[in-house]
Amino acid sequence: MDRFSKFNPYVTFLFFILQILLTLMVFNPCYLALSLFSAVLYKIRLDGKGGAVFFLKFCPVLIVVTAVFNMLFVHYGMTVLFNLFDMNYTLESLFYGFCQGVMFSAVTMWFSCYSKVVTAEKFLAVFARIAPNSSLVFSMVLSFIPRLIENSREISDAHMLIDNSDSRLKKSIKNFSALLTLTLEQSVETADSMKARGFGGKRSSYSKYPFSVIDAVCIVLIAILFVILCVMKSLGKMIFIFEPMIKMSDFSPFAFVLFLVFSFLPVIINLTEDMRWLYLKRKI
Amino acid sequence: MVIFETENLSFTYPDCSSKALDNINLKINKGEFVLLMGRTGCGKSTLLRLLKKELSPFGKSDGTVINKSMQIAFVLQNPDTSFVAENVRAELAFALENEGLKNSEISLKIGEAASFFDLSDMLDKKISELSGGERAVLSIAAAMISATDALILDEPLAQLDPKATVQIISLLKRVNDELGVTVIMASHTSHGIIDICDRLVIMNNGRIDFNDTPDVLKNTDGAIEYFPVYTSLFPERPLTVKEAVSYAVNFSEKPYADINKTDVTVKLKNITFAYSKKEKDILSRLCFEAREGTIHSVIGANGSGKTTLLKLIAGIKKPYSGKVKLNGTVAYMPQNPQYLFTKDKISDEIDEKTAVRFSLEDYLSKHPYDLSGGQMQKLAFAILSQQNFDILLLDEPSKALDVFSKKELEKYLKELRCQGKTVIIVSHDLDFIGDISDYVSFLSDGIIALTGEKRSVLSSLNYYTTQIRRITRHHLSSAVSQGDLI
Repeated sequence: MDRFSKFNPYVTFLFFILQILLTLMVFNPCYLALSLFSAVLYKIRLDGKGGAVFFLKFCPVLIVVTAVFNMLFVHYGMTVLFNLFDMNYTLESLFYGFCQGVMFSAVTMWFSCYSKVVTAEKFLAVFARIAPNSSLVFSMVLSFIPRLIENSREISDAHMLIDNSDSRLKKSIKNFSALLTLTLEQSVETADSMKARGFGGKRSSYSKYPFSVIDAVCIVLIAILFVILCVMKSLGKMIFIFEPMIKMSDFSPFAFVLFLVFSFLPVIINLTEDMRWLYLKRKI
Repeated sequence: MVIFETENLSFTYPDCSSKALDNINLKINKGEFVLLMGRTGCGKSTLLRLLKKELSPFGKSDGTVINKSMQIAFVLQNPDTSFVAENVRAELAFALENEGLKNSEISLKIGEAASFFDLSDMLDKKISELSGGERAVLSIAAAMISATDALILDEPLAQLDPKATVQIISLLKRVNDELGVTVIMASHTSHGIIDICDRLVIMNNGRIDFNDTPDVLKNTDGAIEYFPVYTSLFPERPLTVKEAVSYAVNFSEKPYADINKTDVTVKLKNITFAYSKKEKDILSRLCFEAREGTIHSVIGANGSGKTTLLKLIAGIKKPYSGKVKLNGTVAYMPQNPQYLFTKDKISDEIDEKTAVRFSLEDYLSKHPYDLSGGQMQKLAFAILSQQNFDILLLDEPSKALDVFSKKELEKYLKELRCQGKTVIIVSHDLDFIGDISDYVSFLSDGIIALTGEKRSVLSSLNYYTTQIRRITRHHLSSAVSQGDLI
């Protein structure tokens, strides 16, 4: 059971968005590796064996391909690996490509976790609070589209055997106008049903996900970590130099630990939960 | 204590010469279960809508409506068009959100309603995945979730199959009995409701003709047509199948009349059909035959593939494998007659002669959508009758019809039969089928499980059969309609 998914959608949504942003921002192999590693661990936690298979099937190939591609087309750097047709193929560009591959993999892994944790319904729940009216319209449109398709299919079915003298174009125009009339008629019924249920005044917005203190704590924690990491990044504490030579410029253990905590947040939350279970079981 | 009262209420729609409601005086007491019946277009919906201010139609009204209800829940005829949300929970929350309630209050009310209406298992389901019966329950629950003391339903049963009908009726009885909610329901069928309702109101041409308890009205001339067939058959006027069974012993049945075997006009051989490769087969190796000059009905549960079968015969859908052989041209009437209307005026859809034939001549300048449910069905027939066809396919033709329109439809179909046309009907309306069919097929699990002469098929089914069969099956071998009895 994944404990992190049980948090309010605000928390999970915010975490994934900021985590993916950070991964894209910090182009530093140490941090990228950390991000990828934590994403894979979390993915395994979510999907079990399937998560590991997904990672192995997808990421190594992506990393190798981007690394080789970068080396073939980008030629900066001092450390020449080999020379072909008067071109220098360098370790630096290979490594840069490798880091890009790791970044892509990490982002992909985070997105696949995201889609498992923040379902479409939770996503809507996030926006229902921010923009209740637009999200109502949005969900009405979502349920409206299948009905429109069905109506259009039924109308063309019903007319398939009638007035065969008309040209195809004329027939489809007729069917389309029938579809419009029918849809408008049904919309009037929908409006009636909304009116009958008191729609029209100021309304509240219901979410089945309660927002508790621990959710608030998590949001504050995530936000603080993100802000500090952004400051560290702008102070140049996370820079890594690829050109002309691979060089770690200024490694800050503080930033590294913060990033570690941030990336492993879902895994840490799950681990504490596991430990609590173990402890409770032992007490029995 | 009175909850609704109308005094000399009259109502005229704009651009209409005749009154939709004419001098209506109606008193409804708190906690009553009122069944409102009447021909289609007689003003039932107008009256119901005038009781709820938010839904009052535009037009000129005279007289007064006194409404002492705190909160009226109004359920419209078609659940599908009344939903606003994607899933059940959000649909239930809608009315409560409109009241501006807090999250915790809404959670509580949803939980309570879900357990009363038996929706707990499907709170997170999408509405499109629910069955017809479940949708009807949801539409009632979603309307009733704010504290209501009155429930008004406009033909809630018209769209339902027999099983869902029973489900909704028993739900309404619970709402009335356990919650003390006043229930006012318009319906064309009285079977199953007549014995639980406190009062029957029958309208005609905008007036109230009868307004009394079923026990009084069952002995009144002119009202008895609105009762189920088993009530009108016996002088004792039983209101349920259970009571009627004991009186039915006096009946005997006519012997089987042989039907002359005519030529086969529709032949389906080993038909298999699925919507896509991955989905399961809707019809699998199905064989079917219909003969010239006969009415052949197909019955079966919801989702058994009846509509698909009709569309395959019509050639609208192509079978995955198997052969469809037709001897003649086909006309097809969809379940919802509105699918057939493309013009803005009825006079553009049909000519005057046809209009007279289907008694629609008074409506020629109107829009097809302004007709009542039964009249729309008639217009659909009128449109199809202008086509040349030998085979007529009908999908639930008796759905929105009152007793009288059903009789007219019966007459029309019998005329077609005399002209040597083949009529194939799929329907849930077993009594209608029992009255008019020559042959009946029972579709189940993608195959025709049973097919044959009407009386032999309907008498071999125990649940899926007519009222007449239900009350006579203990002592008669094969009487399924009123015409089979002596």
